[in-house]
Order: sequence, then structure tokens, then C-alpha cells
Amino acid sequence: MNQLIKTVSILTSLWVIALYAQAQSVNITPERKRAIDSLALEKVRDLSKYISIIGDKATSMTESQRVIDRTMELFMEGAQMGVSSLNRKGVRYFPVRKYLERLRALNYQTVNIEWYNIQYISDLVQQPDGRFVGLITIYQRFEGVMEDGMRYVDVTKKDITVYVERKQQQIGGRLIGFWDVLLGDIKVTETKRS
Amino acid sequence: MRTHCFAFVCLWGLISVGSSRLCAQKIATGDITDLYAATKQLSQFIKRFNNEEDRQGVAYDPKSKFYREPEQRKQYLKLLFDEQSIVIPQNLRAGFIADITRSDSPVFLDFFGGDWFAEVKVTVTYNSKEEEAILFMVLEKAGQGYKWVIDRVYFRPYAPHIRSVTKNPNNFLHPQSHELGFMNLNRVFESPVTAEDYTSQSYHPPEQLQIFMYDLRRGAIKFITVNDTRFHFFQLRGWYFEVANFNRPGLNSGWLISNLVQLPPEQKSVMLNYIYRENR
Repeated sequence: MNQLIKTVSILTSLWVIALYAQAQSVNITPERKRAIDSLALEKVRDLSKYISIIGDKATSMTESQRVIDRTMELFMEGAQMGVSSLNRKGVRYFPVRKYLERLRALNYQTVNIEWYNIQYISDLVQQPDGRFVGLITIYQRFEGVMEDGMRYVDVTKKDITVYVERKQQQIGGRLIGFWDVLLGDIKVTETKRS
Repeated sequence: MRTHCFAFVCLWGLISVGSSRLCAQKIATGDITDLYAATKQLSQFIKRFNNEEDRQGVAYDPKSKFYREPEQRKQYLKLLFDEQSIVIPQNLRAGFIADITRSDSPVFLDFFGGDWFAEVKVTVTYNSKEEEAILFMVLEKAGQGYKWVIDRVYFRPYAPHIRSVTKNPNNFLHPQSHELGFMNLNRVFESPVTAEDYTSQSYHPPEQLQIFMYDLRRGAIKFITVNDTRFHFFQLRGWYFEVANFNRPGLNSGWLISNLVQLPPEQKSVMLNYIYRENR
């Protein structure tokens, strides 16, 4: 009996080690990369959509609060926005929630946020803990109109960090692998355009 | 002129083909030629440099005939220079492109290939006064992947106090000093500039990074913000170039080559010392 327990325990250990090794030696083929890119882009599209809703003056306080909560679910804990503008040196840092709340509170009569139909996706690079990290660049056009009719327009480049992790979940007794994508720090840069 | 024509043709191609839609949001209209043209990430700079992506910014399959195709690559390379720079003569640029695209032995940039690093200017307060520190960052292999680490720092307030000159052999504590209870140590500390002359052979002046970290720990330095990032490449034998970000209107923006030097390997250390602000 003892021998049986010993054998089962060794086999279990080997199985766990094999699973762990499999998880660590994940290879991202070009096809898999394309699939992960679409997943990441989907999150970025959600983020863009949420930002437009939060910035929209027609959105009620309750609704914008709900959307801010939804937006936060896209992000890793502790993610921050680094904002650089043309008339100020350096980067100003905001926690994501604070950034969204500031966007909601902007003192314009109307706000219109649009996104340019262009994006650039970097390669995914593995970091020390085994997760992959990439960057998606998109461009946003912001237009705010004050009560007196004064218009403020800017175009910002948003470099969005994307974390990709191979995870496993037990479904019906079987371990199913999947790629989990979360957004991280975002650098917002005001662009100079003609 | 030919370069600009090519850029124009390429960029119209980009716009007419377009890319996948950000369909869930309001799409901005208007000319976005400049946004396509901008080299948006350093990753894209490397991919354009090597001709590893198409005009829409989509990576080629390494098995594709377009991957690293030399003629297209030469055209891309011409677009990767800061057109407003006066420090890179046209003949040097042409020589560089010809050299790295030689049909018998073309050379390419490799993100993981080493021999390149980042220079990052940050603002800190030092003893409550705003100062600029320059951090030199390198990509280091760690665990299952890579990470950026601080390799060096240049901090102007330290510079006058760190000596890298040889010790003056006439400055020493004589071998009977112990009998005097080392009373002559006062001569060492009266002149801080020469105090290191009295240290052992194994003593080396501290690196600025060590002092910087010490000052950070004791609260004398506080980080404020990041101001500027640029990259220095020594990866292609015989050449050094710098890549900086240009945020400006037009088709020549984003990450571009801002300096190029033909550099025999034996002069690499001279260039490194210049970048590291050694002896300044």
C-alpha cells in the first residue's frame, strides 16, 4: 500500500512539473501572435469606447461611474497614465481611475472624442516572470467646446502596455489553456500636427 | 527629392489600403498621412530598418519574399533619418545604407543583440533643488525573459567631486605614522581634493550610480519626472548612430536617426565616454 501511495505521489509530482514546464516554455508562433493581437486590440477598442462614453457630457453620472468601473476591469492593478503635453516638460502621472474621473469632470459644454483609424502593434517580449508584454499605439482626437463657444482641440498618441499571460482553467475535469490579456501603463503624448 | 516622392507614394498606399477598424468608436476623419508615416515605436524603427513589416505596419512572415527584401529596405532606410538634421551629410547617409545593405553580407538590427542602450533624462530634486540626471539603461536577460536595468548615471552635481586621475605618489602617510597615533591624518582630510591619494591600491573612485542610489536611499534625491529618451546603437560594426523622437508635423516624425558616425571599433570607447559625459 505504501509503495502504491509513493508511486502515485511521484507520478502526480511529475505531472505537475510537466504542466509547469509546459506553461513556462510557451512559444508564440506568428499565427498565435495574430490571435493574441486581435484579443489585445479588442481590449483597446473597449477602452477607446469607454473613454468616449466617460468624456461625453450627455452621459449621466451614474452611467459614467459604471463605465469607469468597467474600464478598470481592463487594467492590471496599479496601472497608471503618464501624460505629456506640448507646453509642459516631463510626464504627469495619474492612476487610471483618477485620469478617467478627471476626464469626466472636464469643464466643457460639449466634448467629442474620436479615434483615428490607425494602430501599431509591437512584438510581444517575455519578461522575467514569464508573462509577455507588448505595446499598442493608437491616436485620439479630442474636441471640447466651452460655454462661450471657445474650442479646444488636440490629438494625442496613446502608447498602451499590454500584458499577455498563458493561463489554465479546469473545465469539466480537463485543464484548458487560454491567453489572458490585461492593459497596463499608458503614455499619453500630445502630438504636434500641421 | 526622390526620397520624398517615394514617401508620398508609400503613404498614399498606406491610406488606400488602410488597416483594421476601430469600429466600436467614433472614427476621426481627415488626413492621417502623417500618423501613418510617423515611426511610432522603437520596435517599428527596428522593423522598418530591417524591412520586416509591410506599409501598413504588419509584420512579414519571415518566410515571405518581402521579408528583409533589400531594394524596399533601402527605400525604408532613407526615410528613417531626421531630415532636418545638419549633422548627417548626405554622402555619409548613402555610405551607411550601402554598407549595411551589401548584397553579400547585409546587416540587421537585433532587439536582443546587445550593443545598444537607452539614455533617459529625468528631473529630480537634489537637496531640494531641481536637477537633471541622465540614466543609461540596458536590456538585461533575467528569469524567463528580459528587463531594462539602470547601468549608469550621470549626475552633474557629482561630476566635480569624482576624480578619475592617477594618484599623486608624493602624497602618503609615512610608515611610522602608527607611532604617532596617526596624528598626521589631519593632512589627509584638510584637502578633500587629494584625500584619495591616501587610499589603498585597490581603491577605485565610486561610480556615480552608487552615490546616486545612496543619496536616493537617504532621501537627498527625489524623482520628479522623465523628460527625454534616446537610444545609442553600436550594434552595426563600424558605425554608431543615435535614435531620437521627433514630435512634429509632417511626414518625417517619430523615432528617427538623429546622429550617425562612421566609427572604427578602436574608437568605440571614445564615443562611449562622450555619451557617458566622462571627464566633463
